[in-house]
Order: sequence, then C-alpha cells, then structure tokens
Amino acid sequence: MMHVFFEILAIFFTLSGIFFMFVGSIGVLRMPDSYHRLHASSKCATLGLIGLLLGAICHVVLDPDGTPIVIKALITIVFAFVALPTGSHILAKSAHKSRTPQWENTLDDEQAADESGAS
Amino acid sequence: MTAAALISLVAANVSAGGNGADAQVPMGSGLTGDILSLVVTLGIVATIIGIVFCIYRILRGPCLTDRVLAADVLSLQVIALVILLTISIGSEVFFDVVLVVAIIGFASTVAFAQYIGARADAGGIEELNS
Repeated sequence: MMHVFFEILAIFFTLSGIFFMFVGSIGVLRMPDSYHRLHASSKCATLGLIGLLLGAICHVVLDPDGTPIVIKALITIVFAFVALPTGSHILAKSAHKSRTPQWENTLDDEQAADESGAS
Repeated sequence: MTAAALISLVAANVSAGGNGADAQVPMGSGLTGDILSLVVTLGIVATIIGIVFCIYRILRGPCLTDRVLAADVLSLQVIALVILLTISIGSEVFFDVVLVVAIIGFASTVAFAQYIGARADAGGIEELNS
C-alpha cells in the first residue's frame, strides 16, 4: 500500500518536472527578448529540477539502498533553490547594464529611469 | 562500485530494453511501474526535444545573454536526463553528476554575467549586441 502511494507520488512529481522542463525550453525558443527568456529559464531551473528530484526521491525512498540518492537529492534541492535564481538575477542585471535590446511592446523600464534620474 | 560492475549494470539495463528489470531497485511490477516506465520514456523524448531547442537558441541567439541562458538551460536538461536515468535503473552511481553539473552551470552563468557586465563597463556595448 505504502509502495503504491509513493510510486503514484513519483509519477506525479516526475510528470510535473518534465512538463516544466519542456515548457522552459519552449520559452527559451519562443520568447521575444532576453528578459522574457530569462523568465522561462528560471521556471525551468527551479520547478522542473525540483519536480524531477522529488520524483527520484519518492521512487527510492522506501528502499534502504536508495538513502544516498535521497540525501544527494536534498542537497541538490537546497543548492538549486539558493544558486539558480541568483544566477538568473545576476545575468538579468548585467544584461540590462549592457543595454540588451528589449521587446518593442515593453511597457516600462524602471531601472533605466532610476539610473537616468540619479545621474 | 567498480567499473566492471558499472558496465555490466548498463549492459543489463540495455538488454532489458531500458525497463530496468535487472536493476538494483526495479521500477516495480504492476500498473504503477508500467506507468513510471512510460513517463520516463516520455521525459527522455521531451528532454531531447528541449536540448534541440536550446542548441538552436545558442546558435541563433541575437545577443550574448541569450546564448548564456540557453547554455544554462542546456545544463539543466542534462541534469534532467541524468535524473531520469537514475529513476530508470534505480542505481546511485550516476547521481553525483547532478550536483556537479548544477554547480558548474551556476559558476559558468555567473562568470559569463560578470564578463557581460565588465564588457559593458569597458564600452563594448555596440559590438556586444550585434
């Protein structure tokens, strides 16, 4: 009974992780400018990776041989939640600094307005 | 885990048609195991399509930021493939790759972001966005 429950959880988490990974790569392909593509890649980085790792955890959690996988997956989840959004933020900031062209329908650019107002 | 055991494990998995029937933690008999095997196969196909999309964006990308973030997503797709392989064969031998590739992807993203920012400071904006 417990085994079937965790298998169903593993199927659910793996499917959601695959979905977000695929949607993130479609966003990287199809979005109009660099900032929209960063949005899509951040979704792929956090939700897709977490879904797949939780799927792996739920698949092996009842097996005593799977304990190293659970520990490594938890370490990777903590690292991914700290590091990958930070990398996306740094990349977006430097892209804005190097004046990467924006989509023509972008409504507002508050950071550029702040910088021009300060100087 | 020696190299010979690793090779025999992979060979057993390949001869079993990718089902992981001879692996250490088999995918379970019955309906849930079949569904999980189907999900893993679907995920491998979707991840390979995503890798093709990311390579297209790396080759095509209008500016350097697009190429860097597409390489970042490409490293994540490689991580996804390794996790799907781990679920498929139920063995821990490949799982160290996940954390290592995540760290390398993060470090390369930060390094390229610093490069883009420093190049913008040095005044190379026009040729950067060409």
